[in-house]
Amino acid sequence: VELLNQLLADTITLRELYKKHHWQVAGPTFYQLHLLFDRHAERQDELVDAIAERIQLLAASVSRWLMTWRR
Amino acid sequence: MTFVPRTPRGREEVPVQISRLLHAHEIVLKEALIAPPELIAIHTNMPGIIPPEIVKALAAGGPPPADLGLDEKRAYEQVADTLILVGLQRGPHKVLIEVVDSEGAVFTKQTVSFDAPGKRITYDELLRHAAF
Repeated sequence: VELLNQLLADTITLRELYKKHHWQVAGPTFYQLHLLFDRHAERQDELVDAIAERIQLLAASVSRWLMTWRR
Repeated sequence: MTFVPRTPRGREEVPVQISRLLHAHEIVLKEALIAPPELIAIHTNMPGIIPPEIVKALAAGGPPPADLGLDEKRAYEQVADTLILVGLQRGPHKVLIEVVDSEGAVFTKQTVSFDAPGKRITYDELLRHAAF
């Protein structure tokens, strides 16, 4: 869960990086890259969701196991 | 908490932007490699750590290998980040060329009208623009 949290933090940063570049890209390749960066930001957003849900699932599993173990 | 370096304020050149993105991808990929096995479905979503048989199937543009599980098949269908894979292997210039090659057919008209009507961008112009 700790490793996944690190992965989540960096994936969120990567998503924001794509968004920043999506807004700020300029030059002859502006249009292609503008769309490309946005598309990749969306993909990173899906990964953020998947990783976060996975963390929740694993954390919930750990909690349940701990509760059983304590009894 | 993040290991991805903070970017400076303001606009940066395209190659610098792409280099930053590729560097961030490298960091995430390294973390994914040491992540627990529960991440298998996400691994197949991240280029660079895709199993070789899946890479072959992707390169051939064919259907997913028959022995994939449901999650893996769904992940396979979502893998389309070949540009990032190419970028990690060959650098930002190659990414720019791939952008024009793979998406040029769709976006050239818009780009041309945006920047210089009636003129398709060439590799030379692209690389000149992309000089570090």
